Amino acid sequence: MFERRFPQFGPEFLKEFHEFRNQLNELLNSVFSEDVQLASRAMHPVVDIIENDQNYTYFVEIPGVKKEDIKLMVKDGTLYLSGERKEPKFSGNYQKIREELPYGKFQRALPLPKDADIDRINARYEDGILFITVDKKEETKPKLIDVKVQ
Amino acid sequence: MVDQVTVKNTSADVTGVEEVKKITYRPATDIYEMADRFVLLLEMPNVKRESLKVYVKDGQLHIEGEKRGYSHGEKFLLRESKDVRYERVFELGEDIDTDSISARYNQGILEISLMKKAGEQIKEIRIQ
Repeated sequence: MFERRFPQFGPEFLKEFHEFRNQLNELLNSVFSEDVQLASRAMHPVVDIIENDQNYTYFVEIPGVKKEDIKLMVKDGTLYLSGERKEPKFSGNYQKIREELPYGKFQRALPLPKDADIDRINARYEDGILFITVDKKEETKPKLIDVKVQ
Repeated sequence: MVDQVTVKNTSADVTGVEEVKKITYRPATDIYEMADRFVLLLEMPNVKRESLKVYVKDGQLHIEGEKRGYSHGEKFLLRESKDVRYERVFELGEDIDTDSISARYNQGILEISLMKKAGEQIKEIRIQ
């Protein structure tokens, strides 16, 4: 287990992020009980992270995944996403004649900024996108100070 | 998967005139064949409903859709997604009834059903 702190999100975030991701490979195996197959055709969700004054929003592309097959957890300042895209079943006899979509398990570990309030994380799934909103801790939000002009 | 780069006008957060490149993506597709129909599943996450088009032209099935973009001035801490438009074309065989094509969009997957033409019905005859 390693300890890592992000000073603050900044221009170095991307670099930090990729280093962080590499270091997580080992850790992932100890966190997830099930074996996650990382085959070349495995699903690798694409992620965008947007910051505003109030919160951070993580946009994760996981089309075709059912809500109940998505798992989210927070541990050591990191957001762990895992899940499974299951192949659809049809009734009667049928044959798959073209296969391009990867099915199976996926996982991603995403760092949470230092000022993230882990007690206030909300997630919503729509049109194949998982939206995760993480509020900033109260003290770090910009406050409007009333200045009296005399 | 990137086929071509098309140039499209979108309002960019720039002064003057700047070219905006949008990438055209061929969405990954699975095809299943049933006794009476074909089912296509296309991976097209985050598509604007009004941009989604499925049509048949000259015996070809066209699928088009545009991904929802972000508003300008967003502060990205990480950006892995691309502004893309989805486009894919399939040749349809003679056995497909082009008048009975249906499509639905769910969880970022576009499902298209192509009914086969009702040909000669095979009737099993019970031997007494």
